[in-house]
Amino acid sequence: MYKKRLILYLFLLLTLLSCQTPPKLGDSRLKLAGSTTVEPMARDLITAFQERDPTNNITIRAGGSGIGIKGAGYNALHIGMASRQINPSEFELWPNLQQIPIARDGVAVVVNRQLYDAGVQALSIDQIAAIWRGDITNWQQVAGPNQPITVYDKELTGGTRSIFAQIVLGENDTNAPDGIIISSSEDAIIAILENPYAISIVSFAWQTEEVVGLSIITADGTPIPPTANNVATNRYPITRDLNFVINGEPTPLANQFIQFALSPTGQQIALDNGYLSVITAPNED
Amino acid sequence: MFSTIYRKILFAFVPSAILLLILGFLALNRATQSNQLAKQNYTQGLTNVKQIGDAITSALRVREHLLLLNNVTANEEKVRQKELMDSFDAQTLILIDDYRRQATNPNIITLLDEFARDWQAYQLASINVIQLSLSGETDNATTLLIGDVSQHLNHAIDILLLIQDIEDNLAIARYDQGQELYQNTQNIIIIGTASAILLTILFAFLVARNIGLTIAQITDTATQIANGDFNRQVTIHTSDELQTLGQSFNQMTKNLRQYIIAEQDLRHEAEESRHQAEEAQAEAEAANRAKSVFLANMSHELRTPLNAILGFAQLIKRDTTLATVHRKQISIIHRSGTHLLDLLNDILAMSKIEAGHTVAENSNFNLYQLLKDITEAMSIRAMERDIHFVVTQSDNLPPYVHTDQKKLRQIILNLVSNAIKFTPPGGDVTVNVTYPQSNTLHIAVTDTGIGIPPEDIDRLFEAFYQTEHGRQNEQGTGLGLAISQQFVHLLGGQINVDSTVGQGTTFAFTAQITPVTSPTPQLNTAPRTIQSLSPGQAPYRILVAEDKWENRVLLAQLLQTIGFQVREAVNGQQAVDLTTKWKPHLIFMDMRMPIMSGYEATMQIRNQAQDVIIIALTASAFEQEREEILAAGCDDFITKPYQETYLLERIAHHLDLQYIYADDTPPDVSPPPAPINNEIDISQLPAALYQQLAEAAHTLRTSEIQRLLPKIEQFSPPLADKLSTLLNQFDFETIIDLITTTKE
Repeated sequence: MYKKRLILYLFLLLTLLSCQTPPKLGDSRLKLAGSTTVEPMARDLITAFQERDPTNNITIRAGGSGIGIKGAGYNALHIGMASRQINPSEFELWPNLQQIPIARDGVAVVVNRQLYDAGVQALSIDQIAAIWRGDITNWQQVAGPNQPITVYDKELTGGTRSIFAQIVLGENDTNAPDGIIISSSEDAIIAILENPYAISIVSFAWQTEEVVGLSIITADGTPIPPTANNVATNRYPITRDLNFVINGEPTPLANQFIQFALSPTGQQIALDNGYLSVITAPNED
Repeated sequence: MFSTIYRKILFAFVPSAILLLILGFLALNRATQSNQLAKQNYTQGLTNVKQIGDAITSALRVREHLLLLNNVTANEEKVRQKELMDSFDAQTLILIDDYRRQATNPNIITLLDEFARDWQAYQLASINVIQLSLSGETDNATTLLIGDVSQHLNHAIDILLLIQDIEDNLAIARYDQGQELYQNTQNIIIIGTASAILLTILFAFLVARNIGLTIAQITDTATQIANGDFNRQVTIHTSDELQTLGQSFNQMTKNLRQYIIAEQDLRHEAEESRHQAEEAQAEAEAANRAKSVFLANMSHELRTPLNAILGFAQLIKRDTTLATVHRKQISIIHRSGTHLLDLLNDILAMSKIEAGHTVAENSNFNLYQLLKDITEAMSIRAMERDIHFVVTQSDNLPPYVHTDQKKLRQIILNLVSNAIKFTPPGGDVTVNVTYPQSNTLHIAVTDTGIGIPPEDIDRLFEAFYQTEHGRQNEQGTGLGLAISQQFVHLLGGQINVDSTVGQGTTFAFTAQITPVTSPTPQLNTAPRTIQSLSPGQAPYRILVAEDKWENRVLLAQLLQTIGFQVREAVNGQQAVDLTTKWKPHLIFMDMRMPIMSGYEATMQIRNQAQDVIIIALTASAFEQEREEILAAGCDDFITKPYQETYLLERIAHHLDLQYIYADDTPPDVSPPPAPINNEIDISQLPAALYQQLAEAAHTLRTSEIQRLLPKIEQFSPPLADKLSTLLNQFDFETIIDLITTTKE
């Protein structure tokens, strides 16, 4: 009797095994395109992601944030990449679009502690732009001591520099005419430490006791210091989000990839690319 | 016309068939869809995109080429390149237009329109650049090129790539959908087939179970009925042949039950009548056995007083002072008593046979010698009656055989004496001994006598039946032939008679024998006569407890003669009292006594822990009684009528004493004056006398021996004495042994 039952169960099991559905080709496809800013970091994310599961077929190309948003909107892309916010006209076209920040960029304008204590604690965007263009050359012009300003400008290709340029300098992006060009954040820190009247830009995470980020005076006259909290909450103006854009529910693989980007590993890649983690707890102020 | 059960089985498979049909249809449908999708080239969209991509690449190359052309270049070449560009542009637009018409996806259409707009903008802008370039306005051309032209081109390419992405997604989705359909089809077929198989098995099982259970029920009922439970019925309600079968079965059982009941009644009746017959037979047998036992007991009981009568008659006869008339009367008493004893002996023999106490006592012996002895013995009697007596034997007769010699001898002697008795002088008596087949002896005794009337032949072998002639002769007891017949049966043979009145009679019988090579060695068992106790032994006290005075006195006298001190008790109570007072060494205890039986007395004596030997005296020869006697506490028992020597030897055995034997010592004072020869030597007898004696002994005829005694006494007084003693003790076996051994 038991033998008969066993044979029946085996028969059913074999039947069920025969009915297993093979994985769909579409399930292993992931297409990304869009922001040229996000693209290098996304490539790094893909590399790390593929190390964990190399069977997936993931393609990526640039094209700009607009293409990224449009591609997501037309369901051409699984994930669009955008280094800006989705604008209202785009939302009008594709109301199901979602933007998921995967990294944040923030730039601190730093000076020596000595100068900071001497009174240079907050500048407006325009004042900073004037300094960079060489329109302001003495700290006295901005309520500081009577000392000439030395600008340590970064190479134009740098990520930090490009944000700075985009927000502060606008369209006319050239290196400061009387500035000294440096290539790394370390150089910028050393320069500030050696020269009390120098000014430079670093990713805001580089601030120390001696190298202090200036507050940015907003339109209503409020000075906003470059704290992590202010960067995270967008109150500090020289920041932007690097976004993944999806239309409606993401595919399982897209979802996995987004979760990976938001994981500590993914966020570490964001940091490695010079950006801020979006999951850093805002614990200052 | 299909039978119900056929339809049942058929219908059991219909669901499976229908299911298979549906599943097959579904599978076909899915497969067709899958096939259609596959046919519909799922990469068609991508091909379109690629063609457009190729076309714009060609258009771009031509433009690049045109931009590199300068003033030096011939106008023909410029015109040619320009025409080439225009054709590429036209082709591109046609491709876009075709694609636009084919496309069904709204996103693709939207993007395609956007692409077309950008591309046309690029075309126009690029043509301006080329014209400016060709006309030498390089700076304006460059500005335009970097500005609007590249912007439109880049955007167009990005849009085209998005279209490609969408097409790729669609292609993959179609591919996956096809795969899924294919898998679905496969699954449906697999599950469908599996279900069909399971359903088929299930229904087949149910049908088989239905039939199987029903048949099992019938089988079970049949078994019960076979075991005798006819009230069993099968209850099948399946509305098919099985129910009909069950009903037929029940009907059959019902009929069978009626038949069996009728048959049982008959058998019961038969059994009852058989039982009654058996009971009647058992009762008859029991009655017959009781009769035999009664006769045996009676014979013993009769012989005991007869023993005394003959003994005392003999004693008186020896008294020389007796008057002649008394002597003659005593002789009559003696003769009549002897005849009575003959009769009793025959009755006893017959009773023993009927009570089943007689068995064949087989031994190896010389058959020739036996026949010779018989011839010699009977020749004398035949001669006396002037009858011609012949014994013939066949050549193949085995000399040594294994059977009961005594019984064979007695049968032959019986038949021959009868033949001689009933044959008038001058007649013939012939004994014909043959060995017709192995292990069978055939003996025929033929005479030329008076013959037996047919009406007598049937009853010839009945006990106590005598023919008219036999009764007239007043000879014999009427038991001879009955005993002979019983003996023949004991020897495994048959006896029959053939007779014609006035011409003669032939008695013929068979006996089962086994030829052997040599006779069983015979021991010399001649008993020696005990004279007295050996001198120098303490006086032994022997108590005789016996209610019948003659027996008591005889035994007491015998014991006193031997030299024992003897006291007598007439009942059990006296025996107990005397034992206490007198303290005998040995008690002869009759078991049947008034006041207190021998059993009771023995038990009482044993209870008083008296150290005394008790020998029971009993007339019974039955085994059962012997056990009772020994159980009562007796040391031994002696069957009446006892042999004097045996009785004395039992005393010697128990009291460990010695006797003086007759041949050990000088003869006592012997009453009869006779030749001075005390040796028991049968060879001293003349042959004729010896034969007569032997015949009488073998036929157990006391009267005949009694008649011969005076003659024997003339030749050998001790032998006559001894014979007389033995005769009184009815010890024919010893007599026969004495005669046979002495002679041989």
